[in-house]
Amino acid sequence: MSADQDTSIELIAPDRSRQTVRVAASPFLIGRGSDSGNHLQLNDRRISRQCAAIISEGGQYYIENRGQKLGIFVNGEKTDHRQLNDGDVISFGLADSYEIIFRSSSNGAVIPDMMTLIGKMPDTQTTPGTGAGLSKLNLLLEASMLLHSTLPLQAVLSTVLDHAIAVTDADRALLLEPDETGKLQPRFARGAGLVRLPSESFSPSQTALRMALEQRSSIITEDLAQADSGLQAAQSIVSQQLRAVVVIPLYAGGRTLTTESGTRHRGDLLGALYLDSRRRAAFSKLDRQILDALAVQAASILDNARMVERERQRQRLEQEVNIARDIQQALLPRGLRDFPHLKVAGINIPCLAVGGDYFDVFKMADGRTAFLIADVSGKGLGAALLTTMLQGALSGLMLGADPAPMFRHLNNFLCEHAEVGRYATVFFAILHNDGTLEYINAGHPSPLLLRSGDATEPFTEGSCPVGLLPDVEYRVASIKLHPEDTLVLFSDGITEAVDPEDAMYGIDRLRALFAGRVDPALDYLQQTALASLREFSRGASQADDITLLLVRYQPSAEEAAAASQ
Amino acid sequence: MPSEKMQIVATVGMRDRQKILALNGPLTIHTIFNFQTAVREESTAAVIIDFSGVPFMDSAGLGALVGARVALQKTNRQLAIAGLNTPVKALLDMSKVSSFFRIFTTVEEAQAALA
Repeated sequence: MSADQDTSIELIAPDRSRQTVRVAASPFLIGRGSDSGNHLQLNDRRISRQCAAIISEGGQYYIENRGQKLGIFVNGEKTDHRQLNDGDVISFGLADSYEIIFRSSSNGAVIPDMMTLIGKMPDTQTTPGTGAGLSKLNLLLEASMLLHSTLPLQAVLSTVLDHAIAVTDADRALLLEPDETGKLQPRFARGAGLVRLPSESFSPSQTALRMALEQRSSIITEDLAQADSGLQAAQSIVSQQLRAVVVIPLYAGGRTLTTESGTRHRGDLLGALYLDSRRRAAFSKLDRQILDALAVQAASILDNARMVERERQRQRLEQEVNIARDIQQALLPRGLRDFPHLKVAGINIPCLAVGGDYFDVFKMADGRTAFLIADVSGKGLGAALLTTMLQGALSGLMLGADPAPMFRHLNNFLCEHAEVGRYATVFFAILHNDGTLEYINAGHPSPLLLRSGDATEPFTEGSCPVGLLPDVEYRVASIKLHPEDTLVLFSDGITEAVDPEDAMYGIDRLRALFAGRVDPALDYLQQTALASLREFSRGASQADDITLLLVRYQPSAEEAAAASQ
Repeated sequence: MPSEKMQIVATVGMRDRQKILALNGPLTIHTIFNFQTAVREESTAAVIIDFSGVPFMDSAGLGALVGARVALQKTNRQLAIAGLNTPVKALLDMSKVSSFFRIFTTVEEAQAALA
């Protein structure tokens, strides 16, 4: 036998217990009893005394039928003479009898991780056939492919458990994850044969888990009968008649750090792989290396899958916010058209994806035109929700309802739901065809009135914002507009815009901007205001939404004539 | 941004069952939770909020201040504010809520008035 070969057989007894026996001779004789000089003695009367032999020849192993009447089967195929490969299953044509798994593993190479294992694969492939070693490498390859898969986390982790069972030949496997307190809790379990087990019924050996976490390294126990006494006496191990236990703690960062004092791991604990069996286990060096590599993969998968999950959640949220933004923008008056006696221009620039400001212009059922600007305290999604609700409520005024009771109702509604914790300032106005402007100012900055080159703030009459104080009265005030009068409605995001030195734009600057201009186009005014704001802030990031609505009273000639009489 | 931190110092007033909360810093979305907690902790018949250390207040601050006013009123207690600077007073005025507060120039005046 060559030095780099570690050849053995795994004997599976009729009771399914397992035992590893070295193939230490050639021929290696198999049969019932010891009379025939059998190296492997099988206690089954249906098996011949001289049954079979394993022969080593030129670095290869072969099985020969030496007298088993029912035949020798390799992987279910009857044979008289056949080459053996790692993982081949030898049976004797008998139900409920012995089976033998041939194990032949390369032993010389240190296999630190999957890449090395994959690097070795061409070598493995030059030997004919495929053995169990290669199939285990395939498990690793599959595991690494899962890293790039888009399967749900649950499915990925189930596969990891199945692979771990395949490598260790365990009865069952459990994935544990730390809860908020850091204590490992069963997440889900798999049994041999790709079955799902209820994780609640699985009571892993806490002693083994604790040992693995304390040592920050794997606990691999082939036979508890010969194990560390502390583990042997552990209650769950005794009560569940466990013979073999494997615990592999999974750490973020994946990489194992090998030091002189053993293998240590760094990074956060992601969980643990736990496997156990009521049978004695036998792990070859390759098995252990594959198990270690699999654990590194498992940790990466877990880490990666969690990152993917977090990213998905973030994307979902972003998608939701985008939908909210689209809805909100769609609710703004689209393509502001001019109304028969009102020219309109407006812009809303939320400082986040969605905003707490909005404006609206609509024609009422009786032919008057209403316009409004609203600013909900705060910003972002919370403010946007209230903004949209407010818009829906106020659009009801389109049907001609009386605005003052409507504001009282809105105010009390919001105050009753004080947990909302937000309020809104609103300037609401109804323009009659004759230029009479009725308005309610609910705590909003007075719009500017541009008339013959002067900019004034005549709308100071008013009430407090809606949603701030219960049982407030809202009064409708009135003012008469002249033809070509222009109203500048703005949110405090404009007057409170800051420059890099935190100076505020201020109402005076806004007033000065508009003063002295006679009848420029509304779009031009809007553009001028935004340019002025941009120039002032010099790129300083703004903390609030910016909303500007400009309306100009332009009656028809007859209306103007009627109004002047 | 200007400093978004606020300290609150609570002291007893000249008269029985008066408490003075001196705010030092802006009353904004970043600091209202401190403010709300400090107000909630008081159980005296009158609370005077000293604004002389408050450079500015935003809409969230205004909401919190009105909230304090409403909360104290529900338990039949008094709230007064004192030492408001011009921007803070302007925000109260613009929002039309000034009339809902007892506003004093100094904390001393407030203490004397809230007998």
